[in-house]
Amino acid sequence: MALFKTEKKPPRAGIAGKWDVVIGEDMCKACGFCLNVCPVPVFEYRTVPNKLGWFPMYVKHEEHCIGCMLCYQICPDFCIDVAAK
Amino acid sequence: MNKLAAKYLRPSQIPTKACHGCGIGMIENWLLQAIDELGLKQEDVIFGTGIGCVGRQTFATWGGDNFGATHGRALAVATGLKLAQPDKKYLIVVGDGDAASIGTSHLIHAARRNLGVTVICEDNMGYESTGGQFSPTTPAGYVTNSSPYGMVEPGFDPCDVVKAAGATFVAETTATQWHQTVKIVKKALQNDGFSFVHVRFPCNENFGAYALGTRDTLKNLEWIYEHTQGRKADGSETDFTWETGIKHDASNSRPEFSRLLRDMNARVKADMEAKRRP
Repeated sequence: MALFKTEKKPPRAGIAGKWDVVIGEDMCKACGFCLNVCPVPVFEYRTVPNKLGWFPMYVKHEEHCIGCMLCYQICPDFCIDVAAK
Repeated sequence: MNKLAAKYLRPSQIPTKACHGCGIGMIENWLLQAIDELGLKQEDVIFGTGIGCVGRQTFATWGGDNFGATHGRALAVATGLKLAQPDKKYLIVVGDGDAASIGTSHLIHAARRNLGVTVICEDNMGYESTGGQFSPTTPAGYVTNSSPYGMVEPGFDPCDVVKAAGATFVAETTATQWHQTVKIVKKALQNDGFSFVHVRFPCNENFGAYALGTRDTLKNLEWIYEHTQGRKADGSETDFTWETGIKHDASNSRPEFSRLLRDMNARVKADMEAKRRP
């Protein structure tokens, strides 16, 4: 049982889409923890670097978020906030 | 920025000074959650730091009162502060160099006195800010910058030391146990006495690069996760496992040091008053 999930499945209908995910992209250091700990495809790397020089994460599919808060707990740079809509 | 960081931390200290993939920020986030769940405000908590990775990256991040002590001496400063202001909560965030190496003596004697502070020992298993030399908590056999043929010395568990010295709350977690860490830090903050929480977290740039041979952030955190669980992803056993959880809980069982000292002060004052006016 690994911590990070390599295979991501879109969530079942009805449980997703109730959450508001915000990423502070200017403080992201692109460690990739949120992308890999998330069980559903929500995050994606940007192709343009931020002012720290990293390619930050952004919220690509907010409608897939199931509110498990794993990304909020694991983010080392206080970037992510997940709240109910 | 998440809401708790906006509520409790100084905006000038964010983005943090940590390397990418460092666990210090995660642990600080969990500390903020524990503080928030207890309903504490910025002015109720005094945040003390030492020197090293942990000292540098948590220094002056707390929005309330802070202090930064010299290497290993955070508990010496905290002792004086606790005696002066006994009704505040003290969160002393130190690294393994501070707690288990140069400041072990301060740690032992603070535990012996049952000083009412909460010590969070954030352990990255080496002196990573100076280039990745081994520390007393480096696991035996692992390669570091100053032990290129493997760490010869056996490791050292600061939890056993503070428990033997008389600490009233001792716990150990790792950087992949967020809910446990929040609960444990809440219990530690509620203990009116010496609480010690040992949290291991990954170092990507030095420990990971020398001991594990990779600077991949995911592999380093996965290594911490495997040694917390005792199992690798393929089901085989790891070479060692950290025993996590609450190791000793005798919360509020012994009188706290500042209260003892204040009681003695009041008693002596009353005695002297009585002698002065017969």
